[in-house]
Amino acid sequence: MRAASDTFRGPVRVAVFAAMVAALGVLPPIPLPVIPVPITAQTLGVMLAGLLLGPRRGAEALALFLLLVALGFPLLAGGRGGLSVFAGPSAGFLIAYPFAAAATGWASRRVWTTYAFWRGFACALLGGVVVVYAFGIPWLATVGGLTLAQAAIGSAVFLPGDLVKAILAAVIAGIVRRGYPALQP
Amino acid sequence: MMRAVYTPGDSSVHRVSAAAKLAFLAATAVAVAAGGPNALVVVAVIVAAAWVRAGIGARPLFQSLRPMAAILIAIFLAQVWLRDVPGAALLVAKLAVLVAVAALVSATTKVSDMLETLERVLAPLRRVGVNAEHVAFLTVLAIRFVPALFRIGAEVREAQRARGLERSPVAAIVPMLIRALREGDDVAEALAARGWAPR
Repeated sequence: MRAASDTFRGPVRVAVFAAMVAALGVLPPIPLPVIPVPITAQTLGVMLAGLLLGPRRGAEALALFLLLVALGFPLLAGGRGGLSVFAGPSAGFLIAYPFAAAATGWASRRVWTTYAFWRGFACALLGGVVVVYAFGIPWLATVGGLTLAQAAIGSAVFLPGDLVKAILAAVIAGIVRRGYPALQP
Repeated sequence: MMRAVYTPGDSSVHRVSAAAKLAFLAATAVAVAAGGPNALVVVAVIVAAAWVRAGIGARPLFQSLRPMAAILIAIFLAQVWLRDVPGAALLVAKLAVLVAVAALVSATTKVSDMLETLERVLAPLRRVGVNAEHVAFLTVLAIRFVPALFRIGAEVREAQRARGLERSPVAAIVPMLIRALREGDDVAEALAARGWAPR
């Protein structure tokens, strides 16, 4: 019975997390001292999807989120949406989301039984920072006619915010795993 | 129901099928990316004419371009520094026109038409394990969850403000996640009871 109900819960959680990433986009921006760029919580949703749903469901959730945006819902932070966001120079950072969630989920599968803050943090960094930048920076360089170094320097302003989000994701995933044991596969 | 970037209307542009508009978008993307200034001018004129016919006003264009303004200006300045002013202007104009075409398609096509087209495009992929109906079902389910999650988020933030925790992202997100997961599991239960079979 338990196994049967999980086959239903999994796909529904994919839809729940796609909506969750949208809801994180309207959270008030997390204020950071020193850095002028306001950070939004949307990539936090990418990291959380990987940490809490695992690689496959996490990637599906983010692909579904991008699909909602492409269909025309303005769910990206700042109320952006529609096909035009995929035509812009920073589209690579978006396209990366499902792959980032998959990477974080893949890594977190290996630490699931003995979850610890620093492990969750490392998993969140791998997907939410390494993979996201690995897509976003070359894309920006290609579309904007820049060298990789220039695109990387331009993207570096978001790095402190992303590190904060990886810390938050690891803390939140730890609490939610303890507070919602039904999540355990 | 949430608002989409679709701008209601009954123009000839609105009535063109979603599939045709998406094909047009793909074709212009290739033409703009691979072509020179001439191709760009042709595409820009076509899009401007279609935009006027659609009668949707300048708002969708403004809403699409404004969030990208900073990055487009940065690219322009970098290109001026790397190459020359005409080259920089051409590249930024190409990007802006591409964004405009995409914005036009999204502003004149209903979400339901987009989804229907997607279902039709995915249907032949059944052989490689993609179930178009499953994708469409999850999409509709997610559309249903978005307002629910916005509501849960607002309620949690209000509750944490009463506790003086409005500056703590953890205190905002943890209860939101747990409530959302619980609501999702309830829906899964209900779907199971009604005989829904995932894949």
